[in-house]
Amino acid sequence: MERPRILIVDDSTMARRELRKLLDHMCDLVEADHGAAGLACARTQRFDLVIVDLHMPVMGGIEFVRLVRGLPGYAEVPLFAVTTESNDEVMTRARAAGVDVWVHKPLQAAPLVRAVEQALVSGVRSSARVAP
Amino acid sequence: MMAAEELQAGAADFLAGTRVLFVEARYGSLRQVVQALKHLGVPCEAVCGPGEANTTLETDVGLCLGVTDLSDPGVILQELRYRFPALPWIEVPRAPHPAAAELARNISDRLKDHPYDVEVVDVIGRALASQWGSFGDVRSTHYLRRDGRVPETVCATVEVAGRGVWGRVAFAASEQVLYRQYRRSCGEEPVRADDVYDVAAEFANRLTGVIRRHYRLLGVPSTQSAPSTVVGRDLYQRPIADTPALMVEHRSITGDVIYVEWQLGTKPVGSAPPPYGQLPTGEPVYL
Repeated sequence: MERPRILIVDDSTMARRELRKLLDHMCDLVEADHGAAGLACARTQRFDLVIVDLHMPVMGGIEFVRLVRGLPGYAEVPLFAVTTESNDEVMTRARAAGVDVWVHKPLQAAPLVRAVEQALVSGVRSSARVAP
Repeated sequence: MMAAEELQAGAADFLAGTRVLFVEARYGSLRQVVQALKHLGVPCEAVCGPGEANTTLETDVGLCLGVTDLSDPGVILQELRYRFPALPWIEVPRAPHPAAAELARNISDRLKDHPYDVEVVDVIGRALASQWGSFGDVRSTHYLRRDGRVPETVCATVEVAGRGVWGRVAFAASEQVLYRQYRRSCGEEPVRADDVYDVAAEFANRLTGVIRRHYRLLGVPSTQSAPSTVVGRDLYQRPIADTPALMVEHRSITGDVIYVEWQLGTKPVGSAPPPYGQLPTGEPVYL
């Protein structure tokens, strides 16, 4: 069976490696260090889930999400924002752009892995129904 | 591991130990103010002139506010402010006046408005204990900082902006400490020097996020910049004028030392609950 593919977009090497450490056992991971690089990956490759930081140089996370959602085949791909941001205005903009799940750093391994597994198996809509 | 209650008690002791520095307070109204403040239970430190003030400020980390009635405060204060820019000052007229008690009450009230509530120290302690691998046994000390010396060879700074909270948060550690943390967090060796520096940037980013979330839950939203990192020895950064800088120094049993400094001005802007609730750390929230 083919392993799911996840795109991680974060300017922090440490943050990308931490995610890799958590998710490497269950999927193939591709990393990009800013939104424009992530967009280039999404244009040329197919991913089953995308994890993105919001504050990045070159192209920020919200702009990245807005553009990715416009690409063919990405309308329903689960999209997680992993961020230190807690500003309600930013959350509202992220949701409007197409973010499905908001995960606040620092990460908690078990809830994140569980949410990713659920999203990969049954999509983010059914995940949302079982979220606490 | 040090319990949160112990951290909080330590911070409370520290804040209770802050004192007001009076310069040239032997005569006139200032002497009355010092007496009135002591009567209110506010500890004061009186020195005779700018030279003694300079020496005291270099060595005494508990001073959080300066008061003077120096006859030529422009030049004197300019020098002291240049050397210790983060220390706020109050200038009072030299001539005796009947409002000494009122002035003392104002100073006392200003100290009570100290932005460094003990909860923030607790928030930082909890965040470090949960994220920083070697800090299973945290020993924290806190002190006010007035010079701009960067305490370690790598320092990442994040700016905070908002209507009710503004300033900056800094995270500093040695390259060796950051190297070890990278290995612990990522399970691999860093490839480039930038990977090591990125640990400081990411921790500054995360701690700023944690502090901002604390203020947001108090009804004070804000936003933050991307971290910027400086690397080198004997570096200085200009503190924000008139805004006390609190340094929290964490020391692990393995000898790792990290520094978290925050220099934030705050003012209350209401207490409406945030629309998205409490955003539990690390828990996914479905939008």
